[in-house]
Amino acid sequence: MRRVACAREIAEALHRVKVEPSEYVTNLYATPAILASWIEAGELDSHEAAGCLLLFRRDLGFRRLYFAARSRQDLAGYLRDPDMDWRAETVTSDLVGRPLDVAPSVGAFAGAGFARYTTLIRMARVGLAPAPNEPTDPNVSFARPDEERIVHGFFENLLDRYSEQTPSLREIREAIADEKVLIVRREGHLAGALCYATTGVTTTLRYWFVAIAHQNRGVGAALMRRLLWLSRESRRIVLWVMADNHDAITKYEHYGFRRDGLVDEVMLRKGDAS
Amino acid sequence: MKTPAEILHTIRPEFDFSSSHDFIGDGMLDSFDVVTLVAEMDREYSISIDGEDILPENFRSVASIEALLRRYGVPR
Repeated sequence: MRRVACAREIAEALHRVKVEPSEYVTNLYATPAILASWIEAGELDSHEAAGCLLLFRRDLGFRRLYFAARSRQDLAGYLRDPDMDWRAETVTSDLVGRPLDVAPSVGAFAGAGFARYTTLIRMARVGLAPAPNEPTDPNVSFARPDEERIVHGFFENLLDRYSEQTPSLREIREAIADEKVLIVRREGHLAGALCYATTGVTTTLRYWFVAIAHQNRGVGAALMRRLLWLSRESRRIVLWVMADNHDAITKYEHYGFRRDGLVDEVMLRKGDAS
Repeated sequence: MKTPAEILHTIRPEFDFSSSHDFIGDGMLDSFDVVTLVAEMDREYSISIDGEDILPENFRSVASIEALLRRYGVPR
């Protein structure tokens, strides 16, 4: 593996991979801006062979694998190579797509020692009008800049690090500055938090959590109502949820979210050194 | 043969792409949609769009998509 120094390296590697009509497969959906932030932070390493590019992003004690391959066969062969130095580390990979499209890639990863860790489904709320009046719950407010560490710690403690992209402190700082983090305080503590992002007509609900001690007390509902009001100009709101979290799915359906057909199969391989 | 506009409607039927000059900036297409769009156009037009061309600026509008397709020999 070698450290990626600039976006141009990735572009040139993709050019070498995706040539001629092929059965191109990829899970590299990061925008140029996101890739640039990873490169700038020194988090990205690459590994390339004929017909296949692997990118490894450093996370908390493991790596996330992104790939672009000329064919699933090339990918499978590359993943199974026992001489790959990344096999000593714990690695996850997100296989995103429609279930039938993703299944063969799941097989390729399984053949290389990966196991399915969890499945996420995407849900979307499309074109529905919110409640007519602005919610006035006084307990819901935007997080303040001086609360960035509390909010970051709140999410870090509740998120599953393998299946959910834990935000960095910098990301939380930027979201707070952009007024995209809503919180509820109860009895002097952070009871719940919601983080979202809006691009044009689409809002993405990135994180929505309620502390265990404050669950079933209307905290989550208050946050969601405020989000729906704040994103009332959005034509679409999307989110990802674990497929076996039936309580959460039921709650999202109550707010008008429906499965939109996409899944994320999170594959995990414990390092050989583990 | 489907037009780019028709393929876009297949991927994201909830949006009116004729109302936007910047599909990416307006949040109508995310990065997953772009990859899906590339796969659909590869199949529809029997081409292989280079990985280096899978950039937001090539998919911001019908005009930019059509310009990209012309570079791959797809007629109007």
